[in-house]
Amino acid sequence: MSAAPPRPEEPLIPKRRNTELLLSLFAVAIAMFAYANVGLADNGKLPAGMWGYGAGLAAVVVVANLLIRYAAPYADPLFLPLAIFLNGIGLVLIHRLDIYDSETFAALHKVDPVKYHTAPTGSTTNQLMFTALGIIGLACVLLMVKDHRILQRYAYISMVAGLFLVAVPAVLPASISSANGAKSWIRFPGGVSIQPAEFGKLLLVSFFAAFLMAKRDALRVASRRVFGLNIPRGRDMGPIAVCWVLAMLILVFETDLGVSLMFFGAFVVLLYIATERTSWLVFGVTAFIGGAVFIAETVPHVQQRVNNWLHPFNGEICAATAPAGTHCPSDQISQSIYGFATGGIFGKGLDQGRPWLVGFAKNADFILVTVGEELGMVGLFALMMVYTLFVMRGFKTALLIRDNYGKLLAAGLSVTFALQVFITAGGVMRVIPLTGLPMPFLAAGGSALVANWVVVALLIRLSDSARRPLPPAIPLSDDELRAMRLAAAQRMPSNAVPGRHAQPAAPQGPDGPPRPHPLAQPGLGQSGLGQTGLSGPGGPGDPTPPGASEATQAMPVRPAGAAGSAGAGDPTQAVPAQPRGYGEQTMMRAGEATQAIQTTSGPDSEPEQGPTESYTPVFEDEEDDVRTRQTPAPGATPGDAPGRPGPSERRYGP
Amino acid sequence: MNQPIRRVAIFCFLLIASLLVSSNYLQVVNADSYKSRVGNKRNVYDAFAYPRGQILTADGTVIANSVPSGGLLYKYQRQYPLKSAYGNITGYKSIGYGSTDIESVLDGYLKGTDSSESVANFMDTLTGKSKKGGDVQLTLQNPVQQAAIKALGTETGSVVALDPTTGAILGMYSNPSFDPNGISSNNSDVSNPAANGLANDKNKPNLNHAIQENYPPGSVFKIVTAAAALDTGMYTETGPTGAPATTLTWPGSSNQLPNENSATCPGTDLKSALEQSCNSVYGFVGDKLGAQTMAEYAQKFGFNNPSLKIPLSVAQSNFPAANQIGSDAVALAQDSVGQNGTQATPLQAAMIAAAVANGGVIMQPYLVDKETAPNGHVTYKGSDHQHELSQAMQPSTAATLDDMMQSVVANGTAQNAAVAGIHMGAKTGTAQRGTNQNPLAWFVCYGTANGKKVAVAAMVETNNPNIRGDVSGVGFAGPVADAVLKAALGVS
Repeated sequence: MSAAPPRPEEPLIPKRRNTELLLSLFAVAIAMFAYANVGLADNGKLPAGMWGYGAGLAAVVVVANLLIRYAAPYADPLFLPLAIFLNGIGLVLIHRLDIYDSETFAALHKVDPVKYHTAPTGSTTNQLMFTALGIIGLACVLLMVKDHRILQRYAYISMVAGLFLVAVPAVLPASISSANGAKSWIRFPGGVSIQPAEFGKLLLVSFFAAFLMAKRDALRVASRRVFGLNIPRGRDMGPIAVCWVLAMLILVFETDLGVSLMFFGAFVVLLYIATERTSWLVFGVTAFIGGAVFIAETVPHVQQRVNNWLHPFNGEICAATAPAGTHCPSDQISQSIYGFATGGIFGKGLDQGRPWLVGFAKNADFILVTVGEELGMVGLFALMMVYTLFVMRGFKTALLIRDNYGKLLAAGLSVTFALQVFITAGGVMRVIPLTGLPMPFLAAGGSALVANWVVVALLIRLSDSARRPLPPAIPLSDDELRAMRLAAAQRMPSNAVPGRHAQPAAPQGPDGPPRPHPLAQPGLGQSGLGQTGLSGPGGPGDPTPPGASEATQAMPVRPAGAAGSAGAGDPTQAVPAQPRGYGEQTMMRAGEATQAIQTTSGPDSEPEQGPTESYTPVFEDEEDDVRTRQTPAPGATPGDAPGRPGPSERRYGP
Repeated sequence: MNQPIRRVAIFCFLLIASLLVSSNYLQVVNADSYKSRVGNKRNVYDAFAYPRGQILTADGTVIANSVPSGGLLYKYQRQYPLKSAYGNITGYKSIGYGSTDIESVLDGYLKGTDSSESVANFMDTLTGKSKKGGDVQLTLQNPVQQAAIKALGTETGSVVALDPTTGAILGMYSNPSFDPNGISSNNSDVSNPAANGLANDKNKPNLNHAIQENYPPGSVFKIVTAAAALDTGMYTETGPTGAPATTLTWPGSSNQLPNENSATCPGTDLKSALEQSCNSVYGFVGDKLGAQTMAEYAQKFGFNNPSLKIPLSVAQSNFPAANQIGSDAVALAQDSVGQNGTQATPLQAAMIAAAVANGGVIMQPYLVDKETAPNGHVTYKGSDHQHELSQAMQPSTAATLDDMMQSVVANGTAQNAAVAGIHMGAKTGTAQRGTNQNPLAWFVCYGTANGKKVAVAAMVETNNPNIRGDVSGVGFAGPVADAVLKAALGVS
């Protein structure tokens, strides 16, 4: 081969890692300030462990930042600071509630040392430990999952494991799994208890994403139109029916409306995203509300929660008036309402309210009461904005990312997170009946915290691949081009094309002869009729990044000008039927992998494609999911224009 | 797929926005109605979480303050250093039994949540001062109060002293009183028995009898009848009224209205009849004035007013309405001498004397001298809110009555109560109650000395049946009123 023209420069995309570090340290500073605030309000002194605590959090931030620099340099810079902020504020709130517990104990101990002899352990230390574990979890996910698509491979394992984790508390005896009316825990000897559903939600979302990605065409295309709605075929209702039954079972056996609503909600929303069919939403919501209402009418403990929601003050009225020994409903909701009302607009100040009046789960499901009472509506709004920002960055990632599995996974994680915030806060604030979910990051509870850090890790991973720039293309020399065309022509003798234009290979299936170069593949692989694969020198002026990473130095091929943020939307630069850019290629990978892998002969495959692309979807659906956007250019060839990422998807960064 | 993702993102934002709306509803729109619910224990905790304001007398004696209780939730408890001296004025502030009297009426201010303190509170929040309630200074003077306590001794009765020119109440005591420390204790082992004791005490010591209980005023009411007689111009101070000198009778009726001890009145003019407190004359005059006029003047003096507040609520003093009496001359005559349907609180009696002493004008009685926010800023001054309650009679009538009441001291029934060095007028009263009860001894007076003017009403119940025949206003209530008058005027 003759010497290739000089390699064009890599597009410069800000990585924003320093921004992330600064924001995270700022989040730590806010948490420290709040911590100092608690100490000053409690006894007029700065808390003893304040500097150590701050240094610990700062160390965590620096470690996480360095890790992201290494493992996911293009990640969205907001996930880490927001998570650190929530986690840090959560620690402060838990510490604040611990202070009350230890003061109560001290007072009781003074009165009756025999009866009250063991001081409460406090949850802050535990929470700190689990914060560290969460960061370790983050590190593990970032280091082990180099590419999120690897998770797709474990779709069914995810499903089985996820279902197991969700279902196991329902099967276990109540002494192990029941707490506060919901059977959603596993208690181990030694006081450690976990909520397996927190991990289950991750696995199930991953499964939903993989499953729907494969099934989406069947689900979206076949339908009848009734009353303006596209009614899916009966047999396509299977998955949603299974999921509905599952959600109802959770509701009945775990009495946990929260978990049930979260799973089913995530599934329905992902179904909607995958199929773009509103009818699925209508079905899902109707089915869930119908089922939930029926169960609320018939199952006593669910009924009780609904009653507590509708009549929050019955509990305290009963406790005040009914004869002793009567079983009164819980007064937690009314105490929660009083907490919020007492906080008013600006709140009482940290450690100056009485959020502990809520009683049980004051630092878990009800931790928002502390925010409402002591930080006021202003503080609550700020907190909600942080949650919103987190969720919106998740959706932004889903918009930016170039493969469908990634889109569904990012959207699924974001929806689950948003639903959990809504279900928990809505229960506490009497928007919906109270359920048993912990407030993400804020609530005391190790398993939930670690699971949420894993969510952060996954979103960081997803946003890294969403924002990672397309590597520059290396223009081919004329010699190389000629060789390629020749090879292509040879490979497809039946399709010989006159002139200089080589007819690109049509999909051949497993039996097709090996192609001369793997990287010619993606573009050619799915080309339709009349598509001219390589219509001349791609032109060194408009480089097209190949689908590989920067590492693939020696990659020879890849003409054309489809990619690069500049040339993307410019039709004059885009040679028709060119191999598509990085985005399309990656999107193609999953769906087309079968052909790609089987027709690609080993040694000169680009290294990075190895583990990721060798995945063969277990689903029968071999559709190319590039055809996400049906909108552009009606005359465009199916494999080309529709798959080209629009301008909005090309934007990088926040 | 991006379009549905965008829609879902908007949906998620709406979910969280619904939380914001809910927060607004809970924390702002409905916050007050939620906070004030009975089940909200925070209200009780709040009342004992930080020091409540002090209650002081006009001379600076602390009569209620908050002290640390050592408890965790109820960090402070209320303490009343002078025990029962002001018990039924300050009332109590208890965890389990709520609050009464000043503690209840000025609760917001003492707690520090009154709107007048909000600026001061805000400044304190900014400067980081710890939370505290506002102080309330009463118009009561401790020397006057102590004199009242000492003078009443063990007798059941009430005494009220007020400044006729301003309406400020200088002393107010009713015996028996109670020690509010017991029921206000944070320790339920102390407060429960104390509360039970109060509830079962038939003397109702926690009731301020000086303002919250009605009694027949007896002859004290003759001041009102005299004022009506003079003010309408139907009678003069010394002109004969034409009334019978010994016993008032009515044609066709077996009822009689005799004088005290069936004495014969030295004259039938208003002045000598007041000196000797002649029922026959004042009953006759009342009949002649008519129910309409009597009721009108009673009202001018403050009777039949259901809404008097000082700021404690004052029970309504009663004089039967004109249509209630109708043409019943017997009843009207009895009403006119302070019996039958006429009832007055001791405070009302003092207001009658004050009207005479103040040229016919009754000033609104008040108990709160000033309110001081925690930062020392005075947010309320009683002297800025002094106002006329009513013009009971013309100034000339008041001057005439003044002369008549002075002669009661100089020549009449109150001779024994004369105090050297005080220019005073007075009226005694012996109000009959049921046949098995001792009559009430009344004494109202006003005096001037040292440039001060004070009106006093004293009422003693004398429950000892053995002295039932000996009860007289001047004998039992006179010394009490004198002692209080001297203390209030600074005359030793």
